[in-house]
Amino acid sequence: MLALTRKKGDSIIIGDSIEVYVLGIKGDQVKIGVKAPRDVTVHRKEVYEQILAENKSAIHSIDMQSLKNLFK
Amino acid sequence: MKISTRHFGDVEIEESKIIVFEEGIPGFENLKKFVFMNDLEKDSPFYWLQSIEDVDITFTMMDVFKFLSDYAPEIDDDLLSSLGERDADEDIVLYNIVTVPSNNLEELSVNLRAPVLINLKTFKAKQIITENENYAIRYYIYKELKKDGDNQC
Repeated sequence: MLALTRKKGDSIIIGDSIEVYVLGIKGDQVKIGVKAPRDVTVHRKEVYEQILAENKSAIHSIDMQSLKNLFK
Repeated sequence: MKISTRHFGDVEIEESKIIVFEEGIPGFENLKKFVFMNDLEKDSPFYWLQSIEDVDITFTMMDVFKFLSDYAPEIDDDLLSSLGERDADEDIVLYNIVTVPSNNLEELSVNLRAPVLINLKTFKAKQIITENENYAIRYYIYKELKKDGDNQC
């Protein structure tokens, strides 16, 4: 991991098209802005991890027959 | 092309119908090629997304609109465009991934927060995480399934 120290108003550029800005600092909260190409998604990590975990649960064996029976 | 699946046995697939997730699916980033399968029961809202690269991986999908008439996830137009060209809005379809923990159907939940979008012209797909924080990652839809008819989510 690359660790950089930035002040409010500073930014970081990733590759040639993603920019991360420090928009503000208040106590232990940092307001971060991200400029990225249109099709690059940006998410809070905890949300991404929740989706990831849910997808992993979703592949466990589901009894196909019972699902079909829901509609008989 | 024939593949051996865990749930459906040997299945014949048309290569032109293979759906490609260019970034894979969160948790399964290395799996990019899937085939979409219908349930044979006419009224069933369930479908299956079967991995071609790992035959043990099958996602159960659901068309929730039949049960949740006001489901309207906000999806960035740029994300839609990343799936390639479309002639009409109907070229993009949306399904949600279903989870059934411990095979208890009453705990069946559907991920409203992160729908899967498929462009039917380009066959590109992506799971999109929406900004609607009020849409649950686990929405327990069993009661709506049994009731049938219009519901609010």
